[in-house]
Formats: sequence, C-alpha cells, structure tokens
Amino acid sequence: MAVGTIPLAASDEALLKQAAAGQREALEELFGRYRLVAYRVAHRLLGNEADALDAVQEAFVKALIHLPSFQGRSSFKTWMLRVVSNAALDLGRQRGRRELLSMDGIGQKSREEFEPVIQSDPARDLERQDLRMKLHEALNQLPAAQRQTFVLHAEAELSYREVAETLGISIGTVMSRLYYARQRLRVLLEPSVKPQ
Amino acid sequence: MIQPPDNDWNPDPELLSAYFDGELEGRDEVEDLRARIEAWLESQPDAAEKWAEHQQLQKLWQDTTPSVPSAVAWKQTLDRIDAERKQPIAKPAPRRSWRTAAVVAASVLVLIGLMSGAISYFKTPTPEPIVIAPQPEEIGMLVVALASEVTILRIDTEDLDGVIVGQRPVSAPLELADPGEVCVSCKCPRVVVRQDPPDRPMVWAIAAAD
Repeated sequence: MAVGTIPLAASDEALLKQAAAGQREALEELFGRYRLVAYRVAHRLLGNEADALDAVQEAFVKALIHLPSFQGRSSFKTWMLRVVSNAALDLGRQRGRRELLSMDGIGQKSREEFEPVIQSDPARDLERQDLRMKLHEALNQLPAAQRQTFVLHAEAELSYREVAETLGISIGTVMSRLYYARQRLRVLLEPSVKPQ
Repeated sequence: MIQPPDNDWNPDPELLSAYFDGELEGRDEVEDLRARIEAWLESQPDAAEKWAEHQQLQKLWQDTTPSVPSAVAWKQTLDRIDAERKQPIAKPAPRRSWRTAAVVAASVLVLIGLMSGAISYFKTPTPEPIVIAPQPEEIGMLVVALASEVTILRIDTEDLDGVIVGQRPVSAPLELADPGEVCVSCKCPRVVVRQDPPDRPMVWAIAAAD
C-alpha cells in the first residue's frame, strides 16, 4: 500500500486529521492499520464478508466525518472498534428485519452465505464452515450488549480495561457480560466445546 | 502478604473466568487473590474440566477465525470510503416553528371542513363503505393483553432506532429488539409475565373463569 509523503511513524491522530482533510495517502495508511481488526469484529457480529466490509466502510466514513467527537480521549483503535461494532449491530438489525419481512428470507441462512473457502482440504473446510455457522448462530442468540462485549474481547483481543473504555462501561460489567456470554455459548455449542 | 487458603472461600464464577483470562491485574492484592484461586482450584476435583472448557471455547473461536478478504475487496472498500467522505454532508432542512405549523394545520382543517360541508349540501348522502380491519387471528397473532395493560419498563440499548407502539405496520414478524434488551411487566391481573431465563420474557393469559 502506498504511503506517499506520510511518515511511517505518524500517529493515528495525525493521520486521521490528514485523511479527514482529504489526503488519500493518510487514509490508506490508517485503513491499512485497522482494517483487519475492524473487519474481523464486524464479521463475527454479521457472519459474512460482504456485510462485514459494509460495516467497516461505514465505520471509517463515520470516523472521518465525526472527527471532532473523537478528540483523542481514547485511542483511535478503541474508538474505531466502538464505531465498527455499533455499525455492525445496526446493520445486523436492519438486515434481520428485512429478512423477516421478506418471504424469501424466512428460511435459514445457507452455508454458502458463510463465505466459501477455497483451500486444500475440502473436508476440513466444510467442517470449519459448519463450526463457523454454528458459532454465529449461537452468538446471535446472545443479547446485543453481551455479543459486542464478547467479540471485542475475544476477536479484537482487547483487555477488560480496554473493552470497558471502548464501550463506556465498568470493568465489573465487562467481567459479568463475558461470564454470562461464555456460559450461554457453552450451552448452545455443547458438543463442540465439551472437553475431550 | 499471602493468606493461607480458607476452606470456606469460593471464588465468584465471574472472578474465576477473569483469572482464566489472565485479567486479575488492576485489582487490589492481586497476588493474594491469585494464590487463593489457585489453592481453591487445587482442591476442586472438576477444576481441570473448568479450565478445559474455557480453553475449548477459545480454541473453537480461533478455529473459526474469518478468512481475510481479497486485495480487490479491500481496494473497493477503500475506494468507497474515499468517495463517500468527499460527498457533502446534507444539511437538515430548517425547521418551521411550531406556530407556523399550527397555523398551516388549522387552515387545512378549516378548508377541508368547508369543502366537505359544501359537498354534502349538494349531494344526497350515500352509505359509507364498511372497512373490515384484519383481525389478529387472520395474521396469526394471539393477543394476550391490551396495549394499555402493558408497560415497557426498560429498553437496554443506546443505539435502538425506534420503538413502535400500537398497531403493527405489517402482518409479518417484525423484530424491534433482541429478547435480552426488553423487560416486560404487566398490570393486568389475568396476564402472567414469566422471565425464565431472565433475558427471555414470555407473556401468557390465564383463561377467564366462566
């Protein structure tokens, strides 16, 4: 990815300002730094690549447009993850409603929607897709707040303190949400998470 | 100072989960707490199983890591971000004052009233068509309480788009919130609200005695 005149060690805040002012190179650098973690969080919350990329796009646009609301109070990463996870939850709700309202959307999501993976071992790939689908369905049964907290901790690898800062809640609330999320996931995924 | 293990002490399950996550740091007397949890775990026959369950869920999570989009997909996303941020933000239309709106609404009502009066004066009255509203049974819905009998106590979400109260706009299912975001309470004595588990409220009516 081209970095142009952007120094490699430029801070996120500096890049954000430059990107908001219209510098494409700054946007590319910032996007390159956070696209993957933002995408993975969105994917866990939405279950497929296309929707996850839409959420990432929406989050970056929001970040650039609403720059004054950032003000450097938290790190750009935690702010971005808050915006992308909220965008993903909103998108999930909107699409969920549309599916419910549409006669075609009443059925279960097909396995293909959980993205086809082309790799060397088809049996292993199928097994992984199956697991991914089960995990996504189980995650969808958690309340939104628990789901968001769990995904930020497990996928973005944020510490309890960082999750608390990202969501504006106490560490005790993070601890409690994670505990109940795990309990519920274990019940829902019992055969897959039973210790051998 | 590390306290000797207390036989009656049990770690809170949330605390145990935090210990498994390596998240005890930042708490008071973290070393003491860690030692107590470890001593408790050693005394528990099923401790290894608890740890294994924790690990198993982590492993499942790692095994299902989403695959990375192609370079083309990343480029398209970046281009869309670049294009979208260049679009001018639409300014909200200036709000009319309440007084102006009230005057306009009153004028429209007076005009409609005058026109309908004039029409009915010159025309013989005809019976109005009867409109039959779809009954709840027709759209597969069982009404267990009237809207006036139900109070929404709490909606736990900051980013909910809106809540519709009253007639449903469509006959298909409409999800407004996740079950865990809704807390249901009812004033009607013949309607029972059960919340078991607490994040899944269920409402049903008791049949009226003959």
